[in-house]
Amino acid sequence: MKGLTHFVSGVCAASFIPQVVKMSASGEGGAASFILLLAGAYGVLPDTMDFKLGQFFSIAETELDPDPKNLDPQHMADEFARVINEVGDSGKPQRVQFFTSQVGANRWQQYNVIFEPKAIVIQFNEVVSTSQIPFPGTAPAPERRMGRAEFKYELKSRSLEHDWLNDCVRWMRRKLKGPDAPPGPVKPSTVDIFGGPQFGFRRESDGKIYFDWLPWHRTWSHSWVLGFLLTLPVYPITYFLGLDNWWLYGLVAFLGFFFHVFEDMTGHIGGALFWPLHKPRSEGLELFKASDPRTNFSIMYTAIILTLWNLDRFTTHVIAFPRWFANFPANLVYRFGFGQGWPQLPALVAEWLGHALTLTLFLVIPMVIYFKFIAWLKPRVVAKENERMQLTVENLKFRAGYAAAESAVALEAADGDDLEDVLD
Amino acid sequence: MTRSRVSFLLACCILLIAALPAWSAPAAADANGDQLSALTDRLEASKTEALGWWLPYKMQLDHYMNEPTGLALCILLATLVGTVVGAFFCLIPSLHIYNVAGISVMIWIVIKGLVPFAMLAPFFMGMIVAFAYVNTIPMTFFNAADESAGATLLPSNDLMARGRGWDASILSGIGTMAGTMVLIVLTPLAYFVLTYVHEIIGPHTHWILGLIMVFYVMSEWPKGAGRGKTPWTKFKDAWRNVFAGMFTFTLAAVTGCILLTKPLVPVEDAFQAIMPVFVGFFAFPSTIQALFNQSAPARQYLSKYVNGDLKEVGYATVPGTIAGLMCALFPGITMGIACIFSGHMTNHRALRALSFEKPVEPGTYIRLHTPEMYYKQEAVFILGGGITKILYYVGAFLFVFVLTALTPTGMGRGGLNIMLRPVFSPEPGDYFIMLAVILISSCLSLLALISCTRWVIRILPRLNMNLVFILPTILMLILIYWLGGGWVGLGIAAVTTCIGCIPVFYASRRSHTMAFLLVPIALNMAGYGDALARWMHLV
Repeated sequence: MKGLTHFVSGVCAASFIPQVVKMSASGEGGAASFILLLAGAYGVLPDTMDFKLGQFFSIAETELDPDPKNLDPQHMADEFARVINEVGDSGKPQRVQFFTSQVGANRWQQYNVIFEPKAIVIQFNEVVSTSQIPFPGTAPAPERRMGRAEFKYELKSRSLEHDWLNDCVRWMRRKLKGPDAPPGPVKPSTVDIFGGPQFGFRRESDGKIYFDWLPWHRTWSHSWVLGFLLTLPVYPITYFLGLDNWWLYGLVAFLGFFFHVFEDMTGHIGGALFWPLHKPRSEGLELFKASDPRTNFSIMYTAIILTLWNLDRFTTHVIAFPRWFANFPANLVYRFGFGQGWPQLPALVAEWLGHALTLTLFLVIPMVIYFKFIAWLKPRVVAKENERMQLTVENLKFRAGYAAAESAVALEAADGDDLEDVLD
Repeated sequence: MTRSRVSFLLACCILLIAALPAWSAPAAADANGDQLSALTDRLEASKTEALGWWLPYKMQLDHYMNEPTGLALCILLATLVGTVVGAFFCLIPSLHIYNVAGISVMIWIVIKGLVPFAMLAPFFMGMIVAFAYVNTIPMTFFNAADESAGATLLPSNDLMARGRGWDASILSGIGTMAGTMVLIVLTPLAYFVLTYVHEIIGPHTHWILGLIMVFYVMSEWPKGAGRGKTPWTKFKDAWRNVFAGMFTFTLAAVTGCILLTKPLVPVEDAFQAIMPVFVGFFAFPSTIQALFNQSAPARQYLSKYVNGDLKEVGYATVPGTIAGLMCALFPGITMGIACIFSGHMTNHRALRALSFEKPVEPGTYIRLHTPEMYYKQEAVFILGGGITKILYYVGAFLFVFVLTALTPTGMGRGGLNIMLRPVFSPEPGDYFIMLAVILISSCLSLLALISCTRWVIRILPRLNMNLVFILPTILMLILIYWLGGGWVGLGIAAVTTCIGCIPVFYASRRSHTMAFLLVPIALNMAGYGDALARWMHLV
């Protein structure tokens, strides 16, 4: 999931502790606490450790770095095939690092790494902007555009070798989603902006090569044990600084870290939940894609509303619904002219009725509207895209036909025939 | 978007303008009655020989001000003057509207009592609205960045480099007009929801600002590809921009803690003590960069159309509004920072991701299909930036006029609010007058933007770009010397220019310099201001 989703989720989780919210409010005597910063910071820490640190310690045995002035897709494909054959022959795992190719301040040479069961295709596309928008007509010449190489071993996207943690995840996934779909082919990758991907390969007992996407991601960094260890220094620091409720700081930090790893388990990759006690990375529950905007937006919105709700009910008390419900029967009856003296609702019931109304108005109804809107919008977007793709195909066919006709004309003209006759 | 659609938007604005003053003027007239009598008293006291000739006219003006029509005409006049002043001055690269507003406040203090009080807010509102629109021109065509540049500058510059500065400028203007409509539509939300949000977050602002800073720093990912044979070389290659960003943030925060705790410029000598700081952080580094580049501007094309439509305005509304409200509700949060958050939160581009399609002819290239949303995002980005811009500058000032039981002094933020606070306080009923002012000024400013963009595109090939950057720089240096504390102000500007150059030359986020305000504000709000001052030996 996106960093901001983890960030606000961690803060939201910590805001359910009344003491944390109370000590964070200013104007209640003495200096206010910044404790909730720990929830946010530890909430994005696992990905920070991966993308800002961990990836640089994962040194690939082979680096494929396209030269923007001399694109050679065939060489890249051959190198890749060599690595796969070496892994298959020797049984020794290897990693391959693909690099991006920057050709200007806001220009990148895009290429695809497309996997077939026993072959790889490297295909250079157009130059793209940092927003990944292609510039038409910038693709390399046909002879330097595509390279293909075959290898002896078959690639696969799902591992055969699984441990107790993976078995647990698979069991839970089947309970939640039903039986797993048969594993498909290895998905192609697009390499264009900023950093390129790293792939890991290892031979398994069935003789096939397991394809490991980003082998450095969600390994040691996505561990609840590591999260606990990283929060340990917080306790003595806050204790020696003499902060009130010093023990809460470490707990809040751990909550942020815990929810990050927990949320990531809903995706496809999973995490190494008990590293260093149990090192392998498990699969995920595969409930959502990490990049799914619906999941990210709904979690962020929910977290923000719940945080505001917690801030109000623990400190400011400006939302009037709980007070309104406390006098609800009496007010209602008075309004309809039945006189006064009706009993008030019990305080706790009135309070929670008020909270329920608040959450219904500001969380449930907006979320229902959002999902209804997306359910209405997405088929339209997809239909429009399909129509556009069809138009693109027709356009490409027309251009291909036009180019063929042009070359036929050129050939005929070279043979000395009358050009006008050929065109007729 | 065709010209007819722009005209339709303008027509809607004019209809709303016609309706709003009729609704709100009587209440405003009542509210202004007491102020007028107070003003007359002050006027008597502040008569001077030099301005004595104006007094009979002023008495006549006061007489008219008691009538709704007279009041409306005065407000209209102030709006027009404010819009013209704002539009003219914000065409000058590097000159921020808050500098002009600061000088205007000084002039107001001198002539107060001679101009009706009711003209003050419309004048400043008109000025800031014009800035929100017309400031696009120096930002797009002359690369003159301010603290909102992070949100709009990149795609605008890219379009400019491709000869489509017209598109960038007009799209930004349409976005700003859409933001004006959003401001009006938000009125019930402002009164019945935002006031509650404002009250709830009030005691928690310090840590929310802290969270924003933490995420802003932690979310800057390495831009380098990480080439190298050892972890350290890979790390160093990738981390250039991250190091530069963190270094800038730290330096700006330390500078802020020093200058805001113990100002180097005596208050009586520096009307705008903060001006040298921000001119140094934003304006001068851009000028230096432009002078180093020495590249002639790309040839620009004029068109009857812009590359965008109403659907894109719709797509841009949600992120633009969220970012704008963040800026309007939180102190020290600028567009660059807010747009990072709203972009992360609302980006739905992946609803349809890149897809691999079969080759057109078997055996040829596999087609990578780029969804239409990718192509639209350039326009969506600029339109969203326009919406954010008006909510940031204008919305922050407009919310001062949201007077409710929960917010008896309004809930406005921003530089203009701070500058006007000593001389102005809002009255009930002013909000709707201000909406009318915003609409009138918006229509005029959009027309000014279209005309000025066309004019700039025509004269651009004949401009000496070195002079375009050097003359405003000299003007800014004079202003800093005159208003910002003399030689000390110039020294401060020199220091902040050095800090502001770090992100420019290392391609990190320029809004890191906003740590100058954010860190001291958050610490002071939490109650650590005195402790910090003692720890830094500033008291």
